[in-house]
Amino acid sequence: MRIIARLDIKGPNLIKGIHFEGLRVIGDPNQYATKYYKQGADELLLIDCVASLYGRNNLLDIIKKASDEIFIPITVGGGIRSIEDAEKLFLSGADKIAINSKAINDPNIINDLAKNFGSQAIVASIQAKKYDDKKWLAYYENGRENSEKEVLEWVKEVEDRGAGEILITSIDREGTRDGFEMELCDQFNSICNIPVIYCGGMNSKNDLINFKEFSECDGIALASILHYNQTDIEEIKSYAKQINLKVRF
Amino acid sequence: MKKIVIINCGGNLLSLTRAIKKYENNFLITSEINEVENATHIFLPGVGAFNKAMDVLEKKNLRITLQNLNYEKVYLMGICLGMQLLFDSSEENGISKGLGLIKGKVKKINLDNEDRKKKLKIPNIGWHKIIINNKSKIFDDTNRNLDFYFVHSYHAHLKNFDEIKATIKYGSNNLAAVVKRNNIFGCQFHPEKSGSNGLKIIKNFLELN
Repeated sequence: MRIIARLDIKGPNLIKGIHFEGLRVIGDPNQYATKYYKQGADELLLIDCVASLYGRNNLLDIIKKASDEIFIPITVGGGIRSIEDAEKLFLSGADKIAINSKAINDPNIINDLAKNFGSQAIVASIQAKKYDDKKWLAYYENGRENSEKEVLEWVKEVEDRGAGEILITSIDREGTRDGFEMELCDQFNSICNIPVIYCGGMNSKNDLINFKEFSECDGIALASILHYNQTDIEEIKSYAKQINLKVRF
Repeated sequence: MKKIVIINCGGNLLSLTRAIKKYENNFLITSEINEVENATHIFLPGVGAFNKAMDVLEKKNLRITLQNLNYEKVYLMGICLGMQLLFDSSEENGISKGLGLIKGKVKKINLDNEDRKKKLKIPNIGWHKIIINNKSKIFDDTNRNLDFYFVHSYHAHLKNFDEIKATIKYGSNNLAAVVKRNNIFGCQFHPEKSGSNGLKIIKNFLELN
């Protein structure tokens, strides 16, 4: 299980919201990125959370700086609309890119990106909102727009189109610290053939126990719980070890 | 005089250059034949697909250059796809010829039923502890938890097993993680993305002479 630190960024700031709304400034993204690297994060996830809205990605400078002292993989998302956008991010230090809004409107971009950069570099980001018992719809534009796509169908499509990994965020749990939406995670666990990063709602290290039957290739992405110093990555990993979850030390 | 070169086939070279910069200030990112011919330490990174990367090397006339270097003297390190390029061939996107510097074939990782039950996946993305089969200077001073970051769907089947220096266990598979023949090294993982252990590997490689 990979323990991944997620940093949502708006302009020059690390921010955090609840259900992707009410964004609060936390601090300097590079300072937090370095802190999580030193704590033993397995990867970093940097998301420009207003990029789609304004049709741009502001992360180039932030990644360039971040990758100076950080020697773990960095995934970057937000506002990627073309091969050129992706290329700029890769040349600035991104190892993988996460794509959502553009893929919803033009799914072929996943095929194109995978062909150009390899599946291993393409993360399909899916934002899921529950609408019925065990049914979720995929949202985009940072949780604002409803694509009317069934999440469990959409995930098969992105996999077929060549995504190498999935980032699944539960909008209902995002920022709430109510625990992961395990019904959704279980569904993904049973249908996905590629690695999945689960995101949204982690409340405490005890939540890890839910992932005991999951693939060692999968990951969980943490934000609030780390930003607000509820716990740190070292503590999470010690606990993972205690319950025999395979993690890196 | 040490002369360090990173072969530019496109892709993200930033983290590799930054890792090298921690130990050496003088190095070149290049695809010029004469620079590669005069190098003492060469990095062959590589992301994307095998056949595409070979096409780039071919177009820049680097295939023959790399095949003709004297690896009793020159040190070469292939990273991830760069390691796979060292072998005779790969079955990624149909069969393509590689550099043929180490005998063996690159094949897709094969998961059996047990592996599927454990929900192992392809690509293999994540950190794995390597198991060292054969000592090499390249592992000096790394710490006891030899975790490295892997991201790959294909792996090398070597003809000569003694050229495998380290492996990882991935379900039922033992995958080659570090290979070496003469002064040619290959790492299936990304040392530049593997925290302090990865940096040690890069430092050790740069200190070889």
